[in-house]
Amino acid sequence: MPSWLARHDGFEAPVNPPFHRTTITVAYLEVVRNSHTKIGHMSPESEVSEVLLALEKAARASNFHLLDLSEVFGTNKWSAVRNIENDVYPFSDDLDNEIIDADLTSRFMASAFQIDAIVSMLNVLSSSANHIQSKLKQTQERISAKLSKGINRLPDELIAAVFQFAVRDKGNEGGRQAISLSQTSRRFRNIALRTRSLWNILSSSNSTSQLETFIARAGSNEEYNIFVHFTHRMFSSGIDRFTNACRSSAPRWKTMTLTQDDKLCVSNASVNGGLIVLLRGLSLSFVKHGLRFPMLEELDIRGNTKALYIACIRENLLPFAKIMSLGEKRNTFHASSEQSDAALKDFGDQADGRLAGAQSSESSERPGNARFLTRSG
Amino acid sequence: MSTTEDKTRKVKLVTSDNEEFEVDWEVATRSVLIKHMLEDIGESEEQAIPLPNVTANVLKKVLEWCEHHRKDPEPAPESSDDNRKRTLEIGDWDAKFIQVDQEMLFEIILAANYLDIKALLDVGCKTVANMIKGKQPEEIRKMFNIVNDFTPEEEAQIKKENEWAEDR
Repeated sequence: MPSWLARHDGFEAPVNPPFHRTTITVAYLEVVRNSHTKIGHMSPESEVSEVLLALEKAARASNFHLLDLSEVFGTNKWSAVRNIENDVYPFSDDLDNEIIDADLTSRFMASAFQIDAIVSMLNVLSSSANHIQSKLKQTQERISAKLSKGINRLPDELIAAVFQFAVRDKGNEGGRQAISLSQTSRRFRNIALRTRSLWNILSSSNSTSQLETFIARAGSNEEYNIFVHFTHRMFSSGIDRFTNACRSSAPRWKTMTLTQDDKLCVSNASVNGGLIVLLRGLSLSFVKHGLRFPMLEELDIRGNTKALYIACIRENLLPFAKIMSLGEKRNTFHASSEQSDAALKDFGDQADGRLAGAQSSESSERPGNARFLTRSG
Repeated sequence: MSTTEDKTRKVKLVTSDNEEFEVDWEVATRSVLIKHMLEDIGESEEQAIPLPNVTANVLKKVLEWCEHHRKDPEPAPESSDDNRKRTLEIGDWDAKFIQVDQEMLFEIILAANYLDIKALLDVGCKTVANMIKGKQPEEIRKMFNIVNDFTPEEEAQIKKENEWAEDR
């Protein structure tokens, strides 16, 4: 035991005290506190709030590991440091040669004890945290194993069924959902690429390469669901890009849903023209590419139906009646129950008239049921 | 077609962990597998039906669903049109029923598949689909503890699929 310590404190400092239990630490801190009462206000507790604040600050920092820890912990504010820094640089390598007089020696040793006590407390806390961590770790690993086992236990066909539900529910975003699923793992990718029906949603929000990829993945027998969304950015070139990319699949289009951007201002006449522009653009593009839709069963236009009708009459446009009359297997064409809007009914009647010629040449036992749905936006 | 006699009849089921369940014929025959097995063994038999792929705790849960849906009409044969219109909607009772941990959820799906209970299988698959819906690959991996086993080169390649149309 150093003589200075016995002289000042009558206290023998334990070297590397075995603090395994909080009670021992508390007892030790009690001794340390008592031993330091003669030296000044240097109990370890006085630093605890600083340490806790530093831990809190560190915990809140997103890049904790990149921080300057001495700054985070504010060590220069600690009394253990302040107590000696006026006389010596506390972190000097040659500190023992710089500390000569008894008072400084005493203060230095008190600081050293104080830091020992704080480190001991942190060790106990760390030990407790490690103990909790190891307990949770076991459970966490078991839960992870269960989770992994769960999805992995499903046979491919059930995973494919789950994928189909997820993709169908996303509507025009179905392609994006299918891509996400196919990028999760090798197994998911293999299942997704084998499940052709995941790739039968073609949307104007897909890039040309995506549309081509989807059509290739869907294969030659899949029926397609088409989504065309009109936005202020989708000019005729965008419509034609979409049509051109999808043209090989047109004979197997089963549903077509046309929508317009809700953000477009309703009071603006060009909005009503939004779907009209889209209809006209699609119509021209379909004619240009010589597309026919023998399997189209449902055309769902979501917009302002009355405005749509008026605009159609004004512009002498009934493009989709014409388009649908191209369907070789078409034998019925009827408006939906949503035809309360008189304008819609007129529109439907006219469309029906357009189809009459095509219908008369069809065999009456054909089961085709084309539905024309329009929805007020 | 079930008879009045069928509806009063009890059926014994034995799980893989040798637990025996006695349930009403109407409840048990929500499972097409059990229904066919009962047809095979004949109505006069009191023989227990072995279910080697289902444990007692899972069968208990499955039977709870069958009991609640015992009066449901037979599901109509599925057409491609139905397939297209499938939504993720689940009835209130089913939604509450399927609020189980992931392990049990997948056990129920596997049991429904094995027992051939289409409506319950759909409830399970829809629940998993709801968990997946709208999530990015990393989020899906995290949710189901799936290892990303693509090489960095493969990952770079497949990420090229993520480019979306500029005019959307």
